[in-house]
Amino acid sequence: MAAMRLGFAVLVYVAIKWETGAWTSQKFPNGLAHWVDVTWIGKAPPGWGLKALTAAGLAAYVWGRLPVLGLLAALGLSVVIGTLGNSQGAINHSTQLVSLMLLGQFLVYGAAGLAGGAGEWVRPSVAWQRRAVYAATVVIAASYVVSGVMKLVNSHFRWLEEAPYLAVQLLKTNWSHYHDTLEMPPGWLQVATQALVDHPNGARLFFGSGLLIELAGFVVLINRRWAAAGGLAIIALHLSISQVMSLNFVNHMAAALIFLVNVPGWWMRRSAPPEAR
Amino acid sequence: MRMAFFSAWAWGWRRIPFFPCVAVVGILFGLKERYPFSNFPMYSNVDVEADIVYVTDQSDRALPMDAVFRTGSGTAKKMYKKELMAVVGAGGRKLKAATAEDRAAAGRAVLGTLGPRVRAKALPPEALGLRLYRLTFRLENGALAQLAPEQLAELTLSKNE
Repeated sequence: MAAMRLGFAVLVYVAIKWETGAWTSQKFPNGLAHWVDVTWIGKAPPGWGLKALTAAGLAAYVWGRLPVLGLLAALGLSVVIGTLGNSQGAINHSTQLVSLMLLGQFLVYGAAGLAGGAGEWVRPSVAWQRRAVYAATVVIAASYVVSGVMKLVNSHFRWLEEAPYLAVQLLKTNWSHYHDTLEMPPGWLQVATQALVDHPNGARLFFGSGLLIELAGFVVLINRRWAAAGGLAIIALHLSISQVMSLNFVNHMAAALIFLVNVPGWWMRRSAPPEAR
Repeated sequence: MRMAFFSAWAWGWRRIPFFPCVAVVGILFGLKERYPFSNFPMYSNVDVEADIVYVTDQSDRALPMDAVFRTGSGTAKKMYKKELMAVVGAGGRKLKAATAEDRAAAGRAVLGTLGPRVRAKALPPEALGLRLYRLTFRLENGALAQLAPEQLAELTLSKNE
């Protein structure tokens, strides 16, 4: 579990969008910004002091000591910066998962302290550490399931039938990527986009498998094997999206790799004596 | 009596398969887009039409948006949609009823936000102004079509930008 915490701590630090200088207003408030002015973090972007405080807190979390206090700075900055970024008029979905995983673990460690007293505040027991990992896994699973549910609800349950229309979205994202970088998308992508139009059932099979991975996201909670299989499926889904749409959900893939695939966990299991597996 | 009610509720709740996951799905679904909560609705609305917005210089030469504005075309498009919703919403109309003038007003607002973000180092020296365009793609009669770009707004760059 320490390896998971280390991986997650690195992910949190990297995922926080420290460069907030471009956001000095909250024209379209989102979440907390409806009640609180969070532009202060854009007017005075976090310096080395706040970054060091966050890193020190995350180090304490990795060490398994004072996790509530340790996660406080990372959670606060992650939410405030994410809120301000999403209050600019364009909702971006790259950091919500990490912030929610932080929130879930923070609440579990808080519950540990309330239920177990001073000892659990300072050094949570293995049982509570496991619950914190489970909370993070539940957040990952639920995020994918709700995304699948939204596809069904918003399309009045016609998403699979209308999946061939996603070829237009592919064309759109590839042109969008061109205007981001002025690099032309590879030729095979144009052929693949047209193929989706020409073979609507192939498009349904391709996009439908992605929808299935999302809707079946809860299976990662069954056991370690299901978690690994589900995690690999999620990573494969994102890699294919990255290839065909140039949309890179790096944080999501990293979260799945750390908490679902969990390579160190498998390695430790293999090295443990048979009776301990 | 009250305790019995809560015990029965907890008993029933725990019998829902994967109940913590179901609970979090319910929370995310209900709260929608309220950071850090999200229902992750990406690509849930599938349509035969889609559009992008992009920026060129005064001579219609495309600019690399990531480098010049630290904001990509996708984000600019979302900003444009939000501005357009604000414009048509103020008149009590729907997005599909937006006129060319509404689109131009939203475009001016987006360019007004992007203008101050210009990074002089990344801007080609010959660029003296910015133009915001909207490009629409459509699936019609089994073929992908690209409509003529619509100029939404124009901005002359000052020496400071």
